[in-house]
Amino acid sequence: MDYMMDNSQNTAPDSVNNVQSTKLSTAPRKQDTLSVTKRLQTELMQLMMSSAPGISAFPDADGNLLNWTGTITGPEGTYYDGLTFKLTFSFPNNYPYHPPTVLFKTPIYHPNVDFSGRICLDILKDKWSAVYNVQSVLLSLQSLLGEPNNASPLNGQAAELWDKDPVEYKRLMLARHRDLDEV
Amino acid sequence: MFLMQSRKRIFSSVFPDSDSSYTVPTPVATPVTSFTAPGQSLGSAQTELPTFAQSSTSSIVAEHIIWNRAWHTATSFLSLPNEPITFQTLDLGTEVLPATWHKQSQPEALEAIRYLLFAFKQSPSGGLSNGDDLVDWYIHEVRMHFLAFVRPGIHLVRSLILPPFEILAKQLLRPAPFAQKVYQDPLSRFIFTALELLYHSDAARIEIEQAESKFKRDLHAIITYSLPHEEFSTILAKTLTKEGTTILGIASENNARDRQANRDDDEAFLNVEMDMETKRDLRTDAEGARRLGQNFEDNQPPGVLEARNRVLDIGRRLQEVGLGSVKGERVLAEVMNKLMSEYIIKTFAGQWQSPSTVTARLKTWMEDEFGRLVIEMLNCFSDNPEKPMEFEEHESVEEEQSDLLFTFGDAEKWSEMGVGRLGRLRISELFEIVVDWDSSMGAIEDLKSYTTTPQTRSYLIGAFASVLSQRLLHPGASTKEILQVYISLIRAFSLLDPKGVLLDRISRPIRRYLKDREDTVKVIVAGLLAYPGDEISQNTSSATEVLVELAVELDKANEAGGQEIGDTGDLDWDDMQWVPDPIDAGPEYRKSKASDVIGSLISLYDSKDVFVKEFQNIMGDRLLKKDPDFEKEMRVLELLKIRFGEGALQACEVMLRDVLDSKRVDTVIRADQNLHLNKLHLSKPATHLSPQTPHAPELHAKILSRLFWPSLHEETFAVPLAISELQERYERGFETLKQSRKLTWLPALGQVTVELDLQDRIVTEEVQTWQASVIYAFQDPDASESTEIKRTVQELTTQLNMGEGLVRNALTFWVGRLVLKEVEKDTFKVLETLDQDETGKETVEAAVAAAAEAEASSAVTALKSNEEAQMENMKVYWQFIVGMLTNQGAMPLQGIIMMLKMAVPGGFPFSTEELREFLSLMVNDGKLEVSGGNYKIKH
Repeated sequence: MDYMMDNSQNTAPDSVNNVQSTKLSTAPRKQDTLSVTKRLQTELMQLMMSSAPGISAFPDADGNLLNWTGTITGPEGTYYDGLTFKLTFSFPNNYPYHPPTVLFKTPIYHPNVDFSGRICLDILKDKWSAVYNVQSVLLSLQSLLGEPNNASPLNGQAAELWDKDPVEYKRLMLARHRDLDEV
Repeated sequence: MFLMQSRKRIFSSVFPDSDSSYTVPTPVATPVTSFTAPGQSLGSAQTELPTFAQSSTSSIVAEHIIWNRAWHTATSFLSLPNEPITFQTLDLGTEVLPATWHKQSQPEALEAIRYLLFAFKQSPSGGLSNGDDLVDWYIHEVRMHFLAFVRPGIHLVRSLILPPFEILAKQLLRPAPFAQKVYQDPLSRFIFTALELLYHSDAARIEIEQAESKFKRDLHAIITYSLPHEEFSTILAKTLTKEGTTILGIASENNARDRQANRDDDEAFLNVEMDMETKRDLRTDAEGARRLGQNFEDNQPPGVLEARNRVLDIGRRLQEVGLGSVKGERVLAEVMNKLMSEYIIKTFAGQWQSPSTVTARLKTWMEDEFGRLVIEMLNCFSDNPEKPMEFEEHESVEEEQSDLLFTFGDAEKWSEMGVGRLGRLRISELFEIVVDWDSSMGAIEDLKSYTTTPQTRSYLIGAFASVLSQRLLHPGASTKEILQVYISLIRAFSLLDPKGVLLDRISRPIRRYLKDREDTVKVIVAGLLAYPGDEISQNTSSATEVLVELAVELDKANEAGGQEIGDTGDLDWDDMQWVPDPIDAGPEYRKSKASDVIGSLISLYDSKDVFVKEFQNIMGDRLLKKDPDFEKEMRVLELLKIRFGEGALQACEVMLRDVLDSKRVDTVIRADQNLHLNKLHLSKPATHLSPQTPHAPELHAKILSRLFWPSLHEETFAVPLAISELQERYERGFETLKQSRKLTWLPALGQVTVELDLQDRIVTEEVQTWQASVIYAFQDPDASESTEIKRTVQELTTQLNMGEGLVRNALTFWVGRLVLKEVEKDTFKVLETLDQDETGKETVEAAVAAAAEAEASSAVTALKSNEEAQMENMKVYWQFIVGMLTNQGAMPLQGIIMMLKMAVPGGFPFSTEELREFLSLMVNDGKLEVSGGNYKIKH
């Protein structure tokens, strides 16, 4: 499997249908883009107003609001306590009916995140629903940092070490972590 | 013979002629019979000498001798005197020539001419020239004379003090035709008579005509050549302009009006006359028309007839000397063109009444005055002035069409030109027209007939847009004025161009400009809520700033049935009446915008929220005032709902309902809590605070749903004890009435009727709550009548727990009301008695000053001011900035503002400068840090 080409890690299993529906929905695309923009603007407003601790996100400077950068601070009492992680959000044109593509930009050592930053999280895939939003995704990811789903790991070693060897885990995790700002 | 020829060559090389084929006439002194050798006469060298072979016989030689002799006799007889034509004689009016010019016919000369013209032709050899050459010679003679003596007189010097007409007359129009006549005299008297005698009449006429036209053509060429072109054109133009101004009635507007009145009578008369005329042969029609014209002239103002005669005389004289059709026409065209513009500007500028008669008047003028003058002038310039050129009357007679120089089509063209000029005039006046709208409807009607082609329309747009930006869209014009003009513009242009294309194009810059104005929304909303009527001055401090027109318009639109304002921006695919947009429509052109004033204003901004918010603010202000009913507000709200939709105005509706409900709740609570101790004052819905009156104060409350109201003043201060007790009871009453709800008092809002019982007077005032509290604090129930109560600002601030600003505001207010007096700095006392002495005077002066100050600061309204609200907003934007800088890393100021503009719903209202200020504030607070121009969150 060519990871570099595969940019659809979040696509649902019935991806064929997906493609079709995307095709079908291209006709009123302009309308869609407008409503997507509007929705994202509202979400941004909500996010700015709520000021939930440890999470934030903001659109990139490309001007169409379809790409965001998010920041998560590692929750207390976890391996990631005090570390900050950057994420990229890229929203499809039919958002919120399809989930955004979310990737970790900061290198992270985590059972459900692979070395390219792809995330294995059900709500970003088949469990996506239009009621989720950027904030809920960020919160889910934040809690994922503390409670990984070791049953379906993308990083087997991490999943194994998570419970077995906390010291080694922490060492590997810190070795991998790099603050993006300092790069 | 060869010898002779070569001699002649030598001779002419030594004494060159100006024109080698002609010679000067033989001097009189030369004896006619003196020449000995054939062909040696001085005047004989004009033709090619016969060739050797031809001239071999002696008869040819004899012929030559005779010919030469005849030639000599004729030329010396015909030659012009070597002196100028004396003009003095002309001034007498009788054209008497000096004797030198008046030739008596001499038989031998006539004989010679006849020989030259005719007898010679009969000669067998026929190798010599005939009479044509005599005419040629004469023309040459005339030319020489003209150049030598007449031309110097025609210099048309402008520096003379004489008016142009005089110059023209003296220097050109009198001498030239007269000279022509003088020149022509011998020609017709001798040569033509000779011709007539010799030929049959028909042949002679042809011969004469040819000779005459040749003579004239040549003479005209000389005259034209000898004119100083520029001077001639200028002077002629000046003359024509002057006379034309008189004839066409451009001189004065009154004049034109009078004539307009006269004309109406004339026309009736004319019609009767015309009916009679038509019965006759149409050819005589012109005759009739001319007679009518005579009648016509009788009615014209003095001077016109004379001017007309003068002009026509000029025309005729010009034509006589051949200047008419060549130069005259061109100058005439220029002058008439100028006169047309001038007439239109002078006559119709500023005449905007509706219904407009301007176009009709212009057309009449074009036909009756302008057209007539042009035709008459061109008539003069035409070659055969005997045949009159008719205009229009014969238009129906087709067989005559071809003969007419001017057809109905020409008149049409002139009318069109006139309308075009009028259009230009109106466009140049358009701004004033729009400003004066309603009384200037006629002008728009005029314009309507002009703006029929894309060119004129785009000209209108271009010209008017530049006027607008120059005269209206600048900081000197108040928003109200701009809106006013815009409203007039909408109305005027919807009449001018019902499709709305012009309006759409013209209004773009205005709309763009209005969008940038900060107070546009405020003015519009205030206008919508204004009371159309006299109440306005009472309700708003600055009545002049309110566009009452909008309120009227809102009502009107409603009466009209409130058309559907559902501009979703989509095409209605089911619309069977759909037509393509007009060709000159701009992009995003929408027809619905056309005439709907309110709609146009509301659509200024992309979102209606701006209006709704402003509307809410003003509503809030109004509703908190003590007004028994809010009929007007309710009505406006209903009307606006049609435009904004129910949802948008929900908050306003809640506000309105709050206030109305409060009234009911208030009654109930007061009944429950036995608050209405004094029934007499029940009708006054405000807190009564009358410290020294026997009855207890009354309290009425308005219960507001906080969420739906715009931000309110939330300053708190200690209200007087009596009031706070009442408040508590009221609160209890409310909580029993509406369970699980709580009252939060906003002491800063509300009104109080205060009755102050001072020693010598009772003061009753309607005041703000804080003002009441402050004055209450000056009451000391324990103090005896005699002790003076003094309070300092400091004391009051602490005692009332009130902001210093409010305290000072209240103190100034009471000083202004002559209740308090500032005894020393920041210390006030109650003015129990109004002194009559000098201190009283001083007090009054202070009071007047204070009153003015209080007035100025009374802008403290119930709602938070704009700036405060904006600072509040800045806190929201701070969240955005934090989010942005956290996620996107350090950013420069420009980047931040760009992102904010993109990300904040409804746009970012602050300027770069304001943001910079705010950010530096945050840097000072230690929340941000700056490095290399980039802002960064400080951890």
